Amino acid sequence: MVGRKGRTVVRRAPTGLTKLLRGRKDPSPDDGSRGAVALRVRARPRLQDRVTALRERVFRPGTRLGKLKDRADRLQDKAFGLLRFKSLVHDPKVTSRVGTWLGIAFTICFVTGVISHFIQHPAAWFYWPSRPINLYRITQGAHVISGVAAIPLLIAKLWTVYPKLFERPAVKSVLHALERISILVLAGAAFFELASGTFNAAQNYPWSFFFTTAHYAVAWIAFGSLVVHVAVKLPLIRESLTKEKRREIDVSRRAFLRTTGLTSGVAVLVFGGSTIPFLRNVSALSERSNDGLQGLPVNRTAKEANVQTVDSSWRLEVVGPNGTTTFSREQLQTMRQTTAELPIACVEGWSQTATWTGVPVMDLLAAVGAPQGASLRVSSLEKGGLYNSTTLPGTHTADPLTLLALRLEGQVLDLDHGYPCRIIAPSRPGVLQTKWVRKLEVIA
Amino acid sequence: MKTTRGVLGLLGLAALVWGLWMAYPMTKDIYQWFIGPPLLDDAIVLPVVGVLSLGVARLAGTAWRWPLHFGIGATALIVYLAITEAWRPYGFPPKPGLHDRDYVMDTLITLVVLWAVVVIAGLLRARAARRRQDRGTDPDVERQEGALPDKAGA
Repeated sequence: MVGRKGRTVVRRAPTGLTKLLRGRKDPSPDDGSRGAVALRVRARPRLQDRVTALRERVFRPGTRLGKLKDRADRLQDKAFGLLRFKSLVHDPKVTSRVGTWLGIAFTICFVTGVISHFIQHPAAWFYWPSRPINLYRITQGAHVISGVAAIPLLIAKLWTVYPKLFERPAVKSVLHALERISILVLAGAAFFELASGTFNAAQNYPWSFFFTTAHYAVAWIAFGSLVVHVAVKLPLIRESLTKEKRREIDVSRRAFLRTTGLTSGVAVLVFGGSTIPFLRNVSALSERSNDGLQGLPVNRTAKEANVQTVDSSWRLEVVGPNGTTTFSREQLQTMRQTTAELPIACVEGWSQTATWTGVPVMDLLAAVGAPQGASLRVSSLEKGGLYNSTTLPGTHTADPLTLLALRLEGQVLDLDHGYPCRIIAPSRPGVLQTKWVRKLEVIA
Repeated sequence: MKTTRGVLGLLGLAALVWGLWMAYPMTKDIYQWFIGPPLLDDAIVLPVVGVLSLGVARLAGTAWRWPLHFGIGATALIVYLAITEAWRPYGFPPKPGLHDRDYVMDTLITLVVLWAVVVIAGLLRARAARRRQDRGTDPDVERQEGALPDKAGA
């Protein structure tokens, strides 16, 4: 038949794909093969053929574009000729092993990051226990350490697959193009997470976007594209990690793997002292030193929080089911005091145990007639700031080690540590351990 | 296998779409990250890795090759991590007990220790290779043990 511009148009009989899209039943082919198989065999080459035909038409030999393409091809051949990747490390066996380590590091990062996010922004279904007391310290420490360890793993992984960047044709099919785009997304998201994470851990943040929101959103992109990548490469990964293939890993490849592992170890060594006690005096790039006030680092000073002084007129308000009760600091001191060794564990990865003394929050709840295990809204004297008001869930208020702390290491709390009193609860992020407490409200 | 791949693919896509949905309002702030760093990595970082790797393979004996690779890689990593702490035009001022160390000095000391380890490892490996040569060990065996050059390069 003849088309609108006089060209001959051949109308093909609807294929399995078009029938499927139109919602019609695909009758079984005459050859007895299954419809789905026939669909796959027919649909793929057609698209590729079309692309090839289009390319041939655009770059017809002898035309200006055709000559340009020939010249570009020759140049590319010459350039690629110079690139000879002779190293044995550009090998699926090596890639799979480094990729496995990187996958483990990213999974630890992702899971612990999501946990930390939900502790700070709890969903109704989310439950976070108050014991063991070091649980958050461990998950957040693992988050930062696995992130730092992933940096050399990511570079090593990309190095092992670097020759693939120069493979020709650059795009073999639509699926191949999608796979390459997904790798670009994965690499971009991974670089974003590692760079923003390390700079944020150093509290040295040059970007205008809000770290918490961006880091969390891109973490889902990174992890999602990682899982898609694993799904695509699973047969190759499985084959490369078989015992037989592992035996084929020779000296060079083994040395490369060892070097990569050692470099990751160095990352942990120089950074991990923030959270691993026995590395404290070895880690050159640990965020924290031993020079904190009363032996403990201060993440937010009273000056930053605009809390200048707290005089004797200060009263703690506790809003319970029977109204508001006020307590002076002296009254709080006369109540039953509990002393406990509890960690402060910061979202940036550093943590330290200290000895705290104060009133168990469960005693305050009882004093105002609130039920045990009630949730509390904790408000600070700090006027601004994202965390001037926090929620202490029932799991934590029911824990006898959740304290309204009045003393640190046997001394009255320093103003920078939250004088006149602060919350200290087991297994909680530091940002939620509200300082300069002004009011406690029973909310459930 | 097909089922596993299918399930993984769907879960990954779901996570990816959820992340894109959350990141959408920040698109103009973060889209450059999906182009710039991968490009920087492919055009600068990895070629530099290749040139250094080739340089080490050409100039250093086999015994020194992997200690040097480790030294160079670890130095690059330490320098990057040191930048985040020592170069602070955007950082909070140091607080009591946090970011208040002499990071330049600590980094220099760490690098000195690192390179001392590299030199010791290189010397030990070179001595072991010489001993094997003196014993007249089969070169193929030596190649297997890393004493003679193999095909490692860029």
